[in-house]
Amino acid sequence: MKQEQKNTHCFLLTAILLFSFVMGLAKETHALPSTEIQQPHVRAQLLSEHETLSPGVSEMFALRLIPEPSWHLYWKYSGDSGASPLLTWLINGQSVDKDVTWPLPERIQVGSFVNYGYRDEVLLLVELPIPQDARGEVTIGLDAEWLVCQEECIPGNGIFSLSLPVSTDKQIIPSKDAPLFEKFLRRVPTDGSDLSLHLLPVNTSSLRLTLSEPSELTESLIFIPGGEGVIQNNAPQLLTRTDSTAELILQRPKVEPFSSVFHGIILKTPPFQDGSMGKSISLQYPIADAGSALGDTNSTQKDTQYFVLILMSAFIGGLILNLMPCVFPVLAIKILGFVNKAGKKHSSIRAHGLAFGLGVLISFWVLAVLIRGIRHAGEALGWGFQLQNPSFVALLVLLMVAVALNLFGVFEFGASLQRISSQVDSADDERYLSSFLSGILATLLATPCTAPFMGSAIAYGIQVDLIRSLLVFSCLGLGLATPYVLLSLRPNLLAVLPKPGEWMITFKQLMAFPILLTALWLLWVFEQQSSPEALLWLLLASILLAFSLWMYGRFFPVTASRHKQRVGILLLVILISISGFIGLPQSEIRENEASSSLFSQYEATRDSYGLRWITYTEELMASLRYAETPVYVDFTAAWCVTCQVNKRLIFGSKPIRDLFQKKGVILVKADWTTEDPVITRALEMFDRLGVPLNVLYLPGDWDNPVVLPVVLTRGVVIEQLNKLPDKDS
Amino acid sequence: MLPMRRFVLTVFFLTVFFLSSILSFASATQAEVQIGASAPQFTASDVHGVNQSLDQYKGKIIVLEWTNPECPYVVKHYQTGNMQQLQKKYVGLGVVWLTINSSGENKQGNLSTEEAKNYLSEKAAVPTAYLFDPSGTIGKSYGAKTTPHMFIINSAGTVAYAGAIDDNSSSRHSSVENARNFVAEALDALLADQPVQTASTKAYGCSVKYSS
Repeated sequence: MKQEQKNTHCFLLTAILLFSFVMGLAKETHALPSTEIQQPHVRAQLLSEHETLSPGVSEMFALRLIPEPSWHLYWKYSGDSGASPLLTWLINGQSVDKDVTWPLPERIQVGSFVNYGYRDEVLLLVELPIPQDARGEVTIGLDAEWLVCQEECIPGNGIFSLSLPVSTDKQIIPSKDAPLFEKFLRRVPTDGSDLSLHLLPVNTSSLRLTLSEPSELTESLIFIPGGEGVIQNNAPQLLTRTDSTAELILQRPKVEPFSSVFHGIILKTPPFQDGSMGKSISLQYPIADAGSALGDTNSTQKDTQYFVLILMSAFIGGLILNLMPCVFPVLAIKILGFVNKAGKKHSSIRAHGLAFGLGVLISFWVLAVLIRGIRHAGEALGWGFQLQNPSFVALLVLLMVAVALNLFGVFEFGASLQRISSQVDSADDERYLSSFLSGILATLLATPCTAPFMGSAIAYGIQVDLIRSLLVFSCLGLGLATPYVLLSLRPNLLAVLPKPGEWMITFKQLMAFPILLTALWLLWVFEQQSSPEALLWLLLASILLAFSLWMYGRFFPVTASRHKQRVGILLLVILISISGFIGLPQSEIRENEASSSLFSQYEATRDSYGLRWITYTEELMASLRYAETPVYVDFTAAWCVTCQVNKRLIFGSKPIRDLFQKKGVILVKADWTTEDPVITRALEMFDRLGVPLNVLYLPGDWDNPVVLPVVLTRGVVIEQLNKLPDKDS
Repeated sequence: MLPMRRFVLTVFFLTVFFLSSILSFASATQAEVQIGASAPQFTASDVHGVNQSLDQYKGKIIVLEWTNPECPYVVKHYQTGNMQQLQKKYVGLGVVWLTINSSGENKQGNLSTEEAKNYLSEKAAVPTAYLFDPSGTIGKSYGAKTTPHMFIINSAGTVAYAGAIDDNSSSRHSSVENARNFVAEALDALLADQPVQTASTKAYGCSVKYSS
């Protein structure tokens, strides 16, 4: 007996020791599974749509990933670099082969690479079949791996586990995360095989994807390729819209591997008919391969035909430009100059005409190279890009004002620098340079106006090879220059015009008005691109410019001594520089990182400092409550002077702007300029009846926001901000 | 000077300026290398400060390995010893192995010659040479997008392989073990005078930290 007992004891002891040893090992090699994991720069959770699971059906689960602001995760195709999340699902410990349903990704540019992924939280959804014979509890497991990047990348992984009760009740109880499931299910791409789409080659390296949708229904269009080798990811996607179609110009991939099918997702704003923002498509590549000789001859023929068509449209477009209010006055005045020269040497007139033509031609070439160069650097630009830059628009406004004043006769440029108008008896026979410069000026003035026929020609000209591009732009230039050059070659044609006289001066002054109209239009454009404050400064600068030019014209006439003229020009240059400095918008438009990636679905505006302010709504405040970032709310109105002073004082200071960014503060603007009961209610909550009111909400303590004083000082704001933790800590 | 001459001279200078700007844009275009195309030439300095050129290895099979010591995917291959054993085996068979670092100045992975020497001895890595490409010109001429990104040049000087080192893009170190190694396959084929079966794959890894 004793020996047997001893044996049993030994056996038991060994068993226990072995068991605990194995358990200890297990604990060391496997992380304890959980439903939520915090890793560097990303928070991950395993979620279930329902509280209880029904046997025999497919239930929905998801991996919720929340990247830190300015970090991003990847889609199922990551693009030029990066790596997609890898997920392995388990039901009761058995691995299940199920694919994730991916919500619509964003196109993310990092340096010269383009990736596809998510900058905000995302739910990677999956449907898992619950076994028919499931009873009691089912354990859902997930072994996940992902890569989260900003500029550098940090891989992360986690083992998740979620146990849920099985219920045969007919009642399906949604879990507390069910609204999230609903939200992201709406963001899954729908099937796009019903779309009216065409894919055609533009040339051997570009494709045109045409979507038949009225132009009001397409504001932006982006194509996200479904895999490697579909398109060249980092090439800009050029969108052109006509009345009934929207077209995207895409670049074929340059190197292997090449995809055999053109597949991916089309993202469109505003959403498609069925309410989705993105649809999956799959098309065949058109036959225009670099290597295949058979399909080549046909497509090169078509290509050439189309090219000739484009050249003709460009020429006609250039011709029509002559009639646009921004170009016509200048051209008309220059042509009038011929009337006076009717008696002078034909060769000199001809030379002037050619000089002008050359000026126009070279300006168009420079524009072509410039826009191609900037596009090559990765910026997606189309024609009119120069007008997207508020500084350029401001400069044009000032130029127009100067031209108009010159036409009114307020000032003239001396014989040394005559530019626009030719005086009745000026000695400008020798100033070919001035004609050349007028050519450049005419092109510059023409840029705000886009004549019909020009649109498609320029879109084409921008993305073909350099030689063709230059030819297209040359035709544009030739079109613009032709009327003038033609007349210079045959001045006799001008015999139809009356002899020079008073009427010329009247005509010249009349021509100032179309120029002023163009300036007015440009001011309207400027106002939309910047802010009311910047507009005020530009108008001020225009008046200062007008004053300087009047002063120059009045006190430093052409007949004055050379010395006096030099003084006059110097004074003028100084005053013009001051106007330029005052008028040009100061700030760079930079992304306010904290609020640009989060809450991008809410309406927002940018102020003149480039900061992004989200418009106040009760829904916004409710979501911000759980955002765990500080929020600064500015209750303001345009007619409230204290509010404007406050803003200028605080946000005019770069160190304070940087501090807001460093602390990751989200900026919310409650504009009370017009009646708004929502904002009135919010003000009442703080026992206030008017503006200004500035409130700082602290993360984690939403119910006790910091109410700042009515008249803000920099010290108070800095003090409050410094109490916050840094965004990246 | 006569006005006509002045005019002609001004236009001449403007045209020259304009033409040179076109040419500078033309040269700034990013090329990418095709399978079967001749491998772009380059020179770069190595850890000893000596200039090396692709030309001096003419006639050999050459492997170009784009690297960034701080990229988790490069770490995966070095920590497991995978990269080093590849280097050792094939350098021993007469293949030239060039490790190239295209991280720009002040970018992640940018190393000094001292740091690179220490890294190589710490990891017991044995490439034929470790080259510095901080301006990124070599990387861009090959179209290197990720680290690691592998290119193999055959003895005729044309590109025979471009892409990933293996077929498992996981960052877990354990994923190296059973992965199919495309580089080893391609090198084995080239050494046996056979055609390379899989000549191009999608490279995985962190993006190359170019200076611009």
